[in-house]
Amino acid sequence: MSRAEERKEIKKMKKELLLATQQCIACEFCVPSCPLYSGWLTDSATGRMQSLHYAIKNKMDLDDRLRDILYSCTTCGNCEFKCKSFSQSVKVTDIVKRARQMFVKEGKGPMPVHKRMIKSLKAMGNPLDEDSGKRKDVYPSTFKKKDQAETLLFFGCVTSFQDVNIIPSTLQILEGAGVDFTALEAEENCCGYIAHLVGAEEDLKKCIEKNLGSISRIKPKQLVTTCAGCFRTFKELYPGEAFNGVQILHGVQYIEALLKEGKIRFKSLPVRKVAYHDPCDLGRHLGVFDPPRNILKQIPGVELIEFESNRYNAVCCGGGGGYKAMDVEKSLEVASKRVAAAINVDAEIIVSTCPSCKGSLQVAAAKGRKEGKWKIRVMDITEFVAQAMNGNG
Amino acid sequence: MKKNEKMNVKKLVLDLKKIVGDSYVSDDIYERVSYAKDPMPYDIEEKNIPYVVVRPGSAQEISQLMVYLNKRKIPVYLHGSGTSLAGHSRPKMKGVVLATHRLSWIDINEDYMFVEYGGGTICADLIKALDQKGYFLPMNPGSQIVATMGGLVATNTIGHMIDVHYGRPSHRVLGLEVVLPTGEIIETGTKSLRRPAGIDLTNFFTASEGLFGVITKVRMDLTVKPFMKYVVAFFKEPEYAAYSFMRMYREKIPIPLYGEFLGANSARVGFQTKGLEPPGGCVALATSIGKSQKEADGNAELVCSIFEKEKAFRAMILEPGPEQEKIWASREFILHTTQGKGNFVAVEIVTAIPHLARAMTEIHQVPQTLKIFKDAEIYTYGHLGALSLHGLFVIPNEWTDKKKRAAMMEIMEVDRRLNLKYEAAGGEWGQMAVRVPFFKMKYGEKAHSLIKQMKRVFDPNNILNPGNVDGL
Repeated sequence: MSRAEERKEIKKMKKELLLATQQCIACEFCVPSCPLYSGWLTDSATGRMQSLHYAIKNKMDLDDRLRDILYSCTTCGNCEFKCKSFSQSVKVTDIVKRARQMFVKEGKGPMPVHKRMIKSLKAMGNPLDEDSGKRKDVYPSTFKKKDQAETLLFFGCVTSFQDVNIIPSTLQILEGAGVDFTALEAEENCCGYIAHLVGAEEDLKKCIEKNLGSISRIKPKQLVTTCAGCFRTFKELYPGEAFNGVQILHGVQYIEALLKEGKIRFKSLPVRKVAYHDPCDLGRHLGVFDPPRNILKQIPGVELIEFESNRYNAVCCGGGGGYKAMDVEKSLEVASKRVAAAINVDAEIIVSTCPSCKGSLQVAAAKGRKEGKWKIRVMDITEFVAQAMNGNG
Repeated sequence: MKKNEKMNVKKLVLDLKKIVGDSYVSDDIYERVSYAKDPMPYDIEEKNIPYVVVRPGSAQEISQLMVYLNKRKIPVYLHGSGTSLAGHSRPKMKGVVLATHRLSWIDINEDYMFVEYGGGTICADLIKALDQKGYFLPMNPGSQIVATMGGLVATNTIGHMIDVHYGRPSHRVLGLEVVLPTGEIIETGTKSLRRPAGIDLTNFFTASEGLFGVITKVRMDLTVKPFMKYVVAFFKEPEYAAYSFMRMYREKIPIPLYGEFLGANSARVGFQTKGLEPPGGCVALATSIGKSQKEADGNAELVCSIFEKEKAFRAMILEPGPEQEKIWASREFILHTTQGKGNFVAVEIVTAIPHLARAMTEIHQVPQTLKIFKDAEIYTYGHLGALSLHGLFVIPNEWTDKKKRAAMMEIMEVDRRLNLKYEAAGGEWGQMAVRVPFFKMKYGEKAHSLIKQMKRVFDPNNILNPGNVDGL
């Protein structure tokens, strides 16, 4: 795109955003729902909308302060369900992401930490500055990659580089169910979600291209991911037709189907109170609420309890929207509130279906345990299911 | 501050920080704009953007702020959550926005049978705290998830609730702590459930619309939660919904606590949003109450029978459960009508009992009488049991601020005309700010001048919410 075309594109973006932000009537209904609300309105959806609106309307330069306001959002979307216009109109997260694209196009975004992540994404195929070969490290030695399989597993970067349990647990579940599956292992590339979240759309496109190439070589019937972010990316950001009929499933949808087919059987576990944390990308944004609950309910010994704020009202873990990389401390504060909410309903274990949520909540749980505040475990649903299949946990 | 005198904002910020601490003062342009914007459908004017936003944490800090600002005659605009639909919280000149959120605390005292809370307490938090102990907040504003109690008490509003049961905040508040615009902190009222006879300064503040002082603490009597039963009825003609509530008063049956109404357009949107079948007409909802479930059930049956007598094509008692919750929640989705096309402006028409059905007819004819909104779709809803009706119009995003403002004025003229015609005054949003012209027409110039004189007594330099008594 030439500079002139880019300028035209930026102008168009500003026009769209000016109209879109007007939809916010400043009623402040969204304010308490923002996990990052500090007491100042710019740390809320309405403040973000009003700030952006004012800057565009007054033809202000896109300054660092406005950039900080717009990147300080986990894109959890809770505000959209509290909005007085009930966000049939104020699509806050879409506006925030579009505004971030505008910052990137103007060369004023993303945040410095995000720039480093994107650099890593380009060079290593993941935003975590990890050698792509390391993706193999967490796979059990018994795993043998196939050239073709009915089910292709896609784990994502957080699972591959920052978690040691989800991959072995998932493989164990599928082996136990007798499924024909494989995974991309070291060939897996970031799904591109982080690029989209921080406004680097061109880099998302490159990720799409790479992954579609790998997926098409395997020719699976279904692509299954255990990551809520990857799942949303495949569902909403990849061109649907490019999958050539490959069914896109989150792990919980797949496991629920295997349960229905009788391919998975559980043994009894000790009685435990389990609170299910709805990841924003899977729950509020895609409406997948029941499969994880249905799975947990079928595990003998599980007493499934709900957070006071659940499903569409579920509160973010603090890790979304690229925010955790920006402010680890604040992100941990948000995650700690979520853990405290689990303690309030007497949960012994928090189960989630997103490796980022698990990571955030796990750190908060550990911190609280160290401080003597609480004792609670955080697990991904795959770990829990694998344990229940073995009858140990 | 004298006209044309240049404000030393840097010094102002430093001085305010000395009072409330560095973390609670902001002169950031985005913060200032965010606090200045309110639900009025047009943008804040540049000349009215505040110099600074300050978030004090106690009555003592507010007192010090007021002393400082009053001495320098710097305007102060109070900001609870800025939910006023009549323009109360929008700055009308440059000054300081004082946000009250940090005054948030609740103390339920069952020995005295009262609850005390800070002026910045969120209404929904108070409702929840009271509910946990078997009590009930006798008010139900649509903005309860964010509205602050200080703002609600100062507006003397109960939202959608019908007045005859628990009255207004002015009937429930036992006492207040108020910071005057000149900085003094005063206590009013009593700790007894027996209110003072005669002059009680509490009454000057419970409906002051923020003109006379900053409410920092409220003491309110505890109300035991009643038993409830829900009724829904469907009508082809909206007038029959109105006749139903008129008849309830006439036949002396126990008036429900809520008597809600959704016009056909609004009901269609609300029901669809909640995944319900379109109702095929307009909808009336009622909540009957009693001191026992049996009494509430019996009262609900009486309400249901009145709906049937007034030609409801379907009327039924709703048992607690998902259907009842969905039908009631459909009432909350009225703003779905904007469908992402724009903001909204609404009228609030209150009538004396005999005019309710006539007002219902007339509100549906309003679009034909308008210029800017000529023949626009009107979405009607309201609180018929409380003799109150709303008509909502969508203001397209594409309109200029000038046109939006003119459109709002056109609608406020309707609000004025119909409230005068039907012998009443708005029951939810207050009488000042955008409604000053109505106040003058209804009560006369002398009455308005008395309010201004009263303001001068409390606020000699007119620093607190200036402009609200003069109109938008």
